[in-house]
Amino acid sequence: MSQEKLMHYQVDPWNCYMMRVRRRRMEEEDEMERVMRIVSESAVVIFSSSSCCMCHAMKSLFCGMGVNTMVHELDQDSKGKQMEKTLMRLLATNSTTLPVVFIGGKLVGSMDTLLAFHVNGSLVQLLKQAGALWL
Amino acid sequence: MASQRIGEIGSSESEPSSQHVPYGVLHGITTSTSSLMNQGSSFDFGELEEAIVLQGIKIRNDEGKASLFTSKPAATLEMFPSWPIRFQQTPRLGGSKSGGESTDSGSTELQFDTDSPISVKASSSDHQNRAFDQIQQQETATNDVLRTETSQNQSTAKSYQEKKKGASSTSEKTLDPKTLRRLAQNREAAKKSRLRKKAYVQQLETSRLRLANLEQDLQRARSQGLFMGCGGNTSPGAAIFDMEYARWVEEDERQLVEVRNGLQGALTDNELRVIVEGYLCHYDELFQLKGVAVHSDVFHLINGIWTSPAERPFLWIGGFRPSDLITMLMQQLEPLAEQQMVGICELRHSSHQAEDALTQGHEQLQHSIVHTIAGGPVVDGVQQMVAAMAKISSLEGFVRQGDNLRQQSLHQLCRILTVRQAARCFLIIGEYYGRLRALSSLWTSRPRETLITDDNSCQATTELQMLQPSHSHFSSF
Repeated sequence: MSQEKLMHYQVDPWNCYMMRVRRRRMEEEDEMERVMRIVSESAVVIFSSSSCCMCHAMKSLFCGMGVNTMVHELDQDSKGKQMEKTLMRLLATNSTTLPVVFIGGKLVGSMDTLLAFHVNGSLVQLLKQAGALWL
Repeated sequence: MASQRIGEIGSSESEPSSQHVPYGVLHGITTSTSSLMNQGSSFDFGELEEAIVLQGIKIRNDEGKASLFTSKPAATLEMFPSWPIRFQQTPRLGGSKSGGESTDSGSTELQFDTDSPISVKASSSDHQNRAFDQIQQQETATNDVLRTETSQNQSTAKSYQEKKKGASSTSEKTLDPKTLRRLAQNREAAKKSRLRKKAYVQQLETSRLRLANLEQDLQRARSQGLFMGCGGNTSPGAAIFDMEYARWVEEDERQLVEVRNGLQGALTDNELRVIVEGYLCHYDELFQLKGVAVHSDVFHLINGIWTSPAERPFLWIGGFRPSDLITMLMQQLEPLAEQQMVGICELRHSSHQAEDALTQGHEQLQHSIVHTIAGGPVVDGVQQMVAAMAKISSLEGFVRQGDNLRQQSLHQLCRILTVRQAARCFLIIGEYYGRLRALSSLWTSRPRETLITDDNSCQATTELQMLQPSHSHFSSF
């Protein structure tokens, strides 16, 4: 009896830890699912922050090209923080990366990737494929 | 005056142990200097000559001094032996100097020239130290005179030495109790002198190290400081960037020459491609430098002080505006094939769109910074500053994106054009900026005429000149 109790006591911290890890994994998967769900809803989805000026620049860029975008203001979302963390994980970076853009449900990246694509002409291709741009 | 001085020395000599070195070296050369200043104006070379002569005598008689050093320092110290009695006091304890007569007298001369700063500590009593300090002070000013005088006096000194040596040796043995006392005092004084010398030498060593460090710092600061002078509050990051940029410009000129030679010479496309790739790498280096500088000092990049004056009006977020550059290139590069023309036009178009977007974001950031600094109805200092600092880091992001756009445009240009055309592009760009820099230096060195003349027919074209006539107009009212 006491032996079982002892073993139970020794094993339990590990169990607690594993349960925590599992729970966090599930949350992350939830978040990822949420993000994927959001980006599939529209051809161009921008995760932005209302106070961020680079986000404003990205919005202006698409606007100037005549592309309708769906903008998700993370600072106005209750789960914004977690979504930002998910995005950071997606981009494999440790610093805040807003704005982040998805085209056709697929991750494009942050502003510098977008500019690189735009300059070399592949952005227009992507937009046409996603149906966000005609002609 | 001279005799008075010797009299002073004599009076202190009578109480040797009680009066320690009023002009002690550790108390600073300054004290001896000040004493010298009081007496120095009337310093007599005749007295000096006498001292040198007696010095020679002293060397012979004071070789027993418990000096750890070579004969050189001790010899210098015995500059002003004032009593005949002193010759009798000190027996020859050691034979260290006995054989070195000629070297001693020879070294006498050397003393004056070289050893005085170091050979302060020696084995004699107070008045000799004091006397030596006086000599030390005068020596730097009167080296030449000393040299000539010592050379003259050497021969006389030798003869004196021989005479007195004989006289002293007999008298020393008869004064044993007094001699012992004096010996002990001399030993004490010698010990003190040695300690003082040690301390002084240590002081010198530390000062030397400090001086070396200071010189290193000064050199380092000066190499950075060349770029700090005119700017005023230039940060080290800015100074470093300026240095690196200057180096980049030199390299740029070299690459330009290479491209020019490559185009004029009959190089194959592959060889030209190597040159073009090299030039592209060269620009990549510049953007890398700027990337580092953005992090350390974004304001420096934005205000454009690192560029030449003529380049500054055309600055866009810390560098050139890609669409403007492409427009200029299009004009120069004609004729272009249809496909290339389309490609370049598209590049110009997309670059222009990107520039507009970044400009809009940049403007919004500027408004936001102004708003933050101005503060609301309730100004919370710390909060304000924290917010402003965050906005400045956003500014860094914009400069980075600007550089990113510039870099991407250049790379795309090289993809669209043929190798030869790309080489021509780099040549055009390099020459364009070279001309801008030449214009800047020309403008900087233009003759400025700022005269206040009544002559209204002056031909000068500066603003000040043009203002003068109107000013004189109103002065009559």
